[in-house]
Amino acid sequence: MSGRKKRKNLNLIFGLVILLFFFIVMLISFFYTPYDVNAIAVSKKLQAPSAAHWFGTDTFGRDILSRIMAGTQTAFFVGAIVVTMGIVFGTIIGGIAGYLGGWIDELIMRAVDGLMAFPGIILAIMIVAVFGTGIVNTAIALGILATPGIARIARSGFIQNKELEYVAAAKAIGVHPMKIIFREILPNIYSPLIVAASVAFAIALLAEASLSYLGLGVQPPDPSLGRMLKESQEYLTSSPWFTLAPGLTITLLVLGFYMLSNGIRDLTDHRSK
Amino acid sequence: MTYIIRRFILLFVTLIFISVITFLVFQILPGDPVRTILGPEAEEVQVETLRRQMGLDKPAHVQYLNLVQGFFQGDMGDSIRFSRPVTSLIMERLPITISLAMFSLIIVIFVAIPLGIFTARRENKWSDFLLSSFTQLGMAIPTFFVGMMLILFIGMTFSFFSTGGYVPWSESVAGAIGSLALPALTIALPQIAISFRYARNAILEQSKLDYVRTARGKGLTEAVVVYKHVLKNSMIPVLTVFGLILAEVIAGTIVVEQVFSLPGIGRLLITAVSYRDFPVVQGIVLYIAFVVVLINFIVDILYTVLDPRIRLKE
Repeated sequence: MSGRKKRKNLNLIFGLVILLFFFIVMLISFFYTPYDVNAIAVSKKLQAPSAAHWFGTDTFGRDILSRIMAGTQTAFFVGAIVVTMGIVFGTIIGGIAGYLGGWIDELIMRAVDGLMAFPGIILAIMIVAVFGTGIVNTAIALGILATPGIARIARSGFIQNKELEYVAAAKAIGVHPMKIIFREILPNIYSPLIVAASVAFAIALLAEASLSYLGLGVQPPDPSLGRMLKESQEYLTSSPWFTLAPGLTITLLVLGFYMLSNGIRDLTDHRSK
Repeated sequence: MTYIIRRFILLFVTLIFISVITFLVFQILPGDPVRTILGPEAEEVQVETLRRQMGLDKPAHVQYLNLVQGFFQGDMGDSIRFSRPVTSLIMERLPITISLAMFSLIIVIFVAIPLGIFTARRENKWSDFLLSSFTQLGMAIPTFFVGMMLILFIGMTFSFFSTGGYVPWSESVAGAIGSLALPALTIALPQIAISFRYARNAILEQSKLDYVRTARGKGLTEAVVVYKHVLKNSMIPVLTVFGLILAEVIAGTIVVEQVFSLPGIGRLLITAVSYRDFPVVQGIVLYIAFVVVLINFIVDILYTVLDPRIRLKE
């Protein structure tokens, strides 16, 4: 049993440490980066890591560390929009479906199934193909993607709770159904929703990176870690740090969110026992 | 039987929903596709003629039915960029993508299941944490980054593996394998990290059941217990996971074809998006979604056939 307890803490602690680190890096990048993010210095292009440029320089002689720092802004921005959209729409849709039940539930869940039947990347590509690329459209496309999964989790929470006494009591004194959904039940299902939000954040970061790598996501001059990888590919063998630095950053960031979600899940599971 | 019928209806509903979503998304497309094709200089008569040829003068529900009909007849319209039928563009590139997906799936199955068995037989608290970290890493690492690392560390050392481009099977089998090995491994690695745990958990769960104790009790060797009894029963839940993995693998080909410059469906899709070649995008999205839904359906049915408990529960 002590082994289990140890594991719980490790996920949560590692997750929080990683995310706190990148969050601070992102905050700092608003005020300070070692070099101007977009300053081109062709004479210094593709330099190896050194004291002056910790992670080296890219094809245009731009400082890779500065660009990674700025890239975390994009990552957190897209992730935050995606998770906000997913949680707001997911909870509303899942809440209505789960609480009201019947044919409304059936209809909504078939729509959710239909959306989830698309492989995520395909749906995202289709949406940006129609609405165009760029940071905002990428975030919205990924937000649409995140919604059905969260709706499903919210729905099962509402179904579990709607038969309980406190809901029956609220119904008996004539509380409006919308008020029951959002004021009474929602606060009781927050822990699976937080886990879902954390997972959605991780998936959003990966999807943004993939879309930007494909050239369909964040467009220059907005910095993006996925785009940096695309730009670096041609120089993979001669300047591996150009690929390694942003690649490891994305991996660590996503890992942080997955660890956080597992940590929270274990924590709340433990509590409910 | 009722389960299968219900599942069949669900499949039908999902397919309708997918086609409606795809249709609607391309309906709200800004701008006029006909004018995009003909350019700004086109005359009104030309525009009207092409519009009628493409069926865009009809009401929306007729256009939708045409889309569905075209889908089953293999007629998804013509590519704007290539002025050729979308389906023939897809068919040309299909062998590459299918080879890649199958290759990946085979790697996943042949590594993940043995790895699951291996790790299930060595259960302790430390391996638990290490293995779950391995899984989390597999989920966190972007596939294209995996691909670039494989190019860097394997592709550059061993000349057998091609790091870009495709050699057709008909030209050279070794060449084809060499050109697909790294991309297939790229897709497979994260999936292995995720899926071996399902095999491991299924085996651990089975191992705790009474029949396993009985089998051991009557003096069967450990190998017979594991490989004959436990494995057989634990593979049923694992099967559904491989359905999901195949869907992930198909989605994975899109990104990985870019990394390794393989001229498959994924690459066609990405260039079609950049050229705003919407008939191609629509066709590929519909066919891929259709295939993925169909795979999940088949896996579900197989699951019921293999495990009578699900059938009898109904």
